[in-house]
Amino acid sequence: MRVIFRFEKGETVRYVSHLDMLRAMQRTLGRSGLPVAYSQGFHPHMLVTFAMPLPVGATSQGEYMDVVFREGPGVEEIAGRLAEALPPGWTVTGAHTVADSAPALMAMTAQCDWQIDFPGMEAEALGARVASLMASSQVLVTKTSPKGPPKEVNIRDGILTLKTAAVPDGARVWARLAAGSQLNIGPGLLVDALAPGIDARRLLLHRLELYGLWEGKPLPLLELAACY
Amino acid sequence: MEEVKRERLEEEYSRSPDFPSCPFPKVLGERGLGEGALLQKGLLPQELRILRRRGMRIGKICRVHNYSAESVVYFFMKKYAELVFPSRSWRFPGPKRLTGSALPWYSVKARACLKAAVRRPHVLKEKLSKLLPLVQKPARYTGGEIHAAMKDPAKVSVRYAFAFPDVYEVGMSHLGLRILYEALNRLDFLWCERVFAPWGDMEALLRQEGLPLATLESATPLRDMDVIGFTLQYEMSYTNLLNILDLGGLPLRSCDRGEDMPLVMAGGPCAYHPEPLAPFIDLFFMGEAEEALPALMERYRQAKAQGATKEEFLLQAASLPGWYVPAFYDAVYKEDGTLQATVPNRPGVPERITKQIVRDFEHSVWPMSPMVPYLEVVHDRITLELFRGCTRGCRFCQAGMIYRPVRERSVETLLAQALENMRATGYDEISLTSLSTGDYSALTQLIGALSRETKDCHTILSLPSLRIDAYAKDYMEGVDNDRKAGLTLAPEAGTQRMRDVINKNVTENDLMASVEDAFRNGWDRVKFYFMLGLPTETDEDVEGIADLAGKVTRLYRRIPREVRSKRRLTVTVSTSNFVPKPFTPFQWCPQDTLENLGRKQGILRRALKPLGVSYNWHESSVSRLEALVARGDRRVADVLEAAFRKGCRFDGWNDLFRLSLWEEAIAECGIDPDFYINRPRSREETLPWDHIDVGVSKEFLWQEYQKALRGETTPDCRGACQRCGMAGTLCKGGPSYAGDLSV
Repeated sequence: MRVIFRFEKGETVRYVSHLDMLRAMQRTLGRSGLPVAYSQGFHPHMLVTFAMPLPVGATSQGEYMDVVFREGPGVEEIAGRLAEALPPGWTVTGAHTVADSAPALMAMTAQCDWQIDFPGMEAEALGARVASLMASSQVLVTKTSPKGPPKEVNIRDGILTLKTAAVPDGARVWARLAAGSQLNIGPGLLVDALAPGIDARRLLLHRLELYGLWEGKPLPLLELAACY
Repeated sequence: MEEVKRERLEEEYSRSPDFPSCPFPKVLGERGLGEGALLQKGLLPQELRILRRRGMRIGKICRVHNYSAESVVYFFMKKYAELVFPSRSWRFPGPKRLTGSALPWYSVKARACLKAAVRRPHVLKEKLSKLLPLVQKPARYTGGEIHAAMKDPAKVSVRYAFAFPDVYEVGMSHLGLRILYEALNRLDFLWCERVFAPWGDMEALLRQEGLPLATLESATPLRDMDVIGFTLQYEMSYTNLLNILDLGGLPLRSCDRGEDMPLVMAGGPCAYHPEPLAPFIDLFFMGEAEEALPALMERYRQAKAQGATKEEFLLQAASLPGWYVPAFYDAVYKEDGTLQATVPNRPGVPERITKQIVRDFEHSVWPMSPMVPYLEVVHDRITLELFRGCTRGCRFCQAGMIYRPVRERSVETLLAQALENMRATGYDEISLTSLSTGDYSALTQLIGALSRETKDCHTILSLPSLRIDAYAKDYMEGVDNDRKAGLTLAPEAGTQRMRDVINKNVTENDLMASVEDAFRNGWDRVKFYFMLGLPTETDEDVEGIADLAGKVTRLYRRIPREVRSKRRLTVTVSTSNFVPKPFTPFQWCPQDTLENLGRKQGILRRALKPLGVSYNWHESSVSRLEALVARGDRRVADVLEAAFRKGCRFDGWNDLFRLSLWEEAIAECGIDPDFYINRPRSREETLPWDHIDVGVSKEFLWQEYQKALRGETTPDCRGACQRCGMAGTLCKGGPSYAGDLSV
């Protein structure tokens, strides 16, 4: 039985890296005593996969995990037992069974909603920047990678929607960005385009939701899972 | 009149919209009273810093009518205490008259309350969180692991910081931390939190921002704790210890820390030789702390409730077995610079401090729900402690002497602990630990039981530090083929003569038989550990290491390909440099010189290269400093402090070790390092650790040293008591030690 979970990563665990989270979730499944299935072969491992790595320091209410169970006591009980075993800072907010034939979470993911806080920034200035960015057909930012030289990329096609508003001590941006294997625009690149020179590490990044496409329309992954 | 004014002032405080971040309302700021005046009137500079750090602007605290500065200080403390600590479990003393003459009384009381009040460090936490995105591995500093102890500071009366003078990943791998964290947090009046040495990037940010080092659980600055307890595992971590004190806002030396500062304690294996840290630590513990430490904390709670001074409490502690207050002892030196004696300088303090052990090891504290770190720590698995102590009597080994006697845990207890730990943590790997796991009397039963019980859980069983003769064939066949890591063996010395000197009772035949068994069971990676610079070592002994490695490679080639691995054999030889440690038969020996150690490493490099064996060696200059600290006396403390002031940190980490700074520090302190490192000591000399009694007698150690020089071995004392000095007191002697230790 294959189950997709949506969960939140809270403030207290925002510095847990993706790799550390993988281990933490496997141990959580171990503690829960749920009948998780293992791979066959030389080095059996739990059949657990995730949708998309989250940058270290970001919080999220749209994290997804896909677990295969040997047998199922029912999705509600499974979610309940997982929630009980989770360390502080993580919350299960949804679970749904999914057909074995459905694609992997990573392959489903196509879009991603972000909420980015710019403390101390004028909302008007940022709003102007957003407007001009959405009006232009090309937004060039420099992408650095550990391998190879930095290169200029056009991220405009990856920015689907962009809104901004004032919050008590700064400005907030909501963005829907392309995500996944086709085209992936990380929040860091968007920040470079919106506010060049700002250290993205100091901003508060919050992932709201991950979407996949069903008949061309974006659906949150949890709802999409139900379609298969 | 006074009463009316006070009420008005209080009322005005409470009306201020800025509560609680700025408890002093702006409306009172007209005719201001500056920080200078407050300091003059009794507010301590560190308090001013605390308040300032908590976002309070006290540049212009008002003077209302004829209110005195003392009153303002007092109200300042009181209001702040109320605001940040509203539970009211504390009682703030209200002076009847706020006059200058009452100041000594109320400022002491108010200060105590303030100290309690500022323990809700929400502001600090927020400031620290701004630094976290800028450092490597921020999860080192956030805590929040499952099973970390979280308590309400209002409901505990003693706040304890368990300080580990190395980075998080090392400290969280330490079993002693897990055990004491459990033992202390079982006390409902106490909250034990953790603090580790911050990595260089975090230290730089803390210093730049002027923020104090704080505990992981509650982000409380170290100086606001009641007790800081260090564990001393390695001499080269001592500069980190000083760094933790300094970053926590504490003066390094005990004599500079006042009544309002936490008590600083230390324990662990290196505490048996406390003298190099004597000026920095208020109280040392000699032995296994899981019973004595909670008992002491109960006394601390009472002392604190009675308002006892530090001195009074330390006097009480010093009279208890195992506790050592270095300030109560004077080190007296002879004209030639050697030690005359370490003597008590006040009545009621014992001349010798005796090691304390856990007698009922079977039932001693065990963390059934240990913390599970998010970061990948060095030992990231369940660890079972099979037994304490070791009966082998290797003469170079300090642990083998100081952890005596042997006390085992039963298979049933270990199995129950393993299953409960697995259930509580979700770990899928178990390791067995002790000084010599192969000597556990029921090893095969234990491994059998563990693999039976965990068969369906995909659990890996790893067995570190096995002695080579313990590698029985049946064990090796039991190890899951897919999980075979390299085989690690520690013959320690290359020739039989040298192994006899150090009493490593392993023959070449044992070794070759173990290796052959391993090869025939599919192992193709072997790692050997040796020591260089052992007493009486000759070049022949060094060449013996290369000979042994050569024999192993030839053995592999002789075994038919059908019954061994198809891959190429990898042999690695690692050498460390021998450091003669206190409480071992070699405590009188000098360390080998730098030149000699370098030359011997050269011999091995040249001899091992043609064999295709890779060779790693330990940096000799680090071992030399390790010897200086491990064998030093109180005068070496100055070197530690000077090295710390120059910026030495993490000296045990090869890439961070800075020899030139240490050399400068040694030169500045006018200390001759050879006096401590390369000077043979005579039987008559009083050693800096002679006032500590670890149970094994000095006489026994000397006899062992003489036997070593004659190349005579001493058998394992499980067969027959070797009269090390413990029999009759801590150890009942004889062949079986399991459980029962009643003498």
